[in-house]
Amino acid sequence: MKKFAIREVETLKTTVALYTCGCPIVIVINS
Amino acid sequence: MYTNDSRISVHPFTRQLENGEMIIGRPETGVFLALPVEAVEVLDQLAAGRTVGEVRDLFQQRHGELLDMADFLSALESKGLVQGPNGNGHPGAASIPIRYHFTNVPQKLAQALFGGTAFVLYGGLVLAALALVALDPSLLPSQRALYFAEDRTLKTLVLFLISYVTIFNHEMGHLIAARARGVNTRLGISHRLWFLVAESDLTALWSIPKRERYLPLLAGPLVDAVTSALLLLALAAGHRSWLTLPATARQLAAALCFVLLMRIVWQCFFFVRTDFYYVIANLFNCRNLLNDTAGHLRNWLARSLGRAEPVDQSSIPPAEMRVVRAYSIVWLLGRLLAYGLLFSVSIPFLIHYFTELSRVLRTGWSGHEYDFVDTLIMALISVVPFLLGMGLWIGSLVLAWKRRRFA
Repeated sequence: MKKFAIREVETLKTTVALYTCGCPIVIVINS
Repeated sequence: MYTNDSRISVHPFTRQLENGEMIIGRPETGVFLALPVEAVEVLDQLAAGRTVGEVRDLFQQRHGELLDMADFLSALESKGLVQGPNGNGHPGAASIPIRYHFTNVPQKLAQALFGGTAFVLYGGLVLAALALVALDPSLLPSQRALYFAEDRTLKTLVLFLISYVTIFNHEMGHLIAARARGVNTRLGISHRLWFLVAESDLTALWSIPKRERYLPLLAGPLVDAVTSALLLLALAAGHRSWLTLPATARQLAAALCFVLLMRIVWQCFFFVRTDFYYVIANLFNCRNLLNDTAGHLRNWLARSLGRAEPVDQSSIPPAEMRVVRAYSIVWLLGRLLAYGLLFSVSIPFLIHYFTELSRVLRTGWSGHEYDFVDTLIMALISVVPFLLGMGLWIGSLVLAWKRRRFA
């Protein structure tokens, strides 16, 4: 019996890191 | 149960023919599926009011095969695309409408902000900044721009507040570019591994043609690039005394420019779902690259241990599997790098910071007022997001483990 292949496509959730780009560097440099 | 006489209610859905497959979905619930073209023909016949039995017979006449209608319909019902006979379907979470944000942004305004004229302006600004940096590479801020010799905490705090405004601008870039194409977006906070992130849910982009998805996906980094270019132009003008910039403004502009450039670098970490990851996945016609790669690696591990493959990937087309195999190297190397940095930099930094924090808190306000305030503010802007990101990541790992265990 024929079964269709059904695939759920992924959610498209673009991102920006909230602290990684800068924060630890700021702390390390300023400490 | 579906009988031959059952009539099925099909929710209106969008469709895009892509690489021999049909992508259908409901933007209002954010559920999209990739199906064979003939499956959508079946859906169209059901939507036209034919019964399950009639549609099965038609399919057999045209394709010479008996179709498992119950399997097909129950899968679609679980995703909220159809409602069972007599309207008694239970689509659950898949049918909950998404609350999109800033849907009142006029489409004409969005089209003007991401139209041809605007692009000439943005391109001109970025090219001018690149030309200035090529002529004088010292203009490009390095990590030293983040060092503030005086009023460190205050300036760091101001930098963080401004950088959060630019994060909002980045997300609005995605949102407005999607609006220009008539697609709604939801903004939120989430995590990638243990990194706390702001995110724009652009899933409804599956409802528009592939080539039109690139701009909304890249609009955030574009906003960052244009903002960096403006800052570099201002710094260059200050450098040549065409513009009088106070020292603090100059320092903050250079620091912010560095943060923005680092943000663009973050997008290159495409071993997690970043903006550039989606561009690559879209380019290679992948429907769920990261999940399929994780499944491929789990199967590879199981095979290596002489066990049965836990993930059925037989429905993934061969061309997509080739991308999955290549991407699995990026996935592994990227995670190796990320875990290496977590244990060699982030965790030692956090331990050091907690030691400092407990020392200052033990001494209290009476010890040294500036030290006390300084430590609390730094903890707020640094340790709290890190711990939040860690908490979300560990929570997601526990949830995934429970799902697999009780599946």
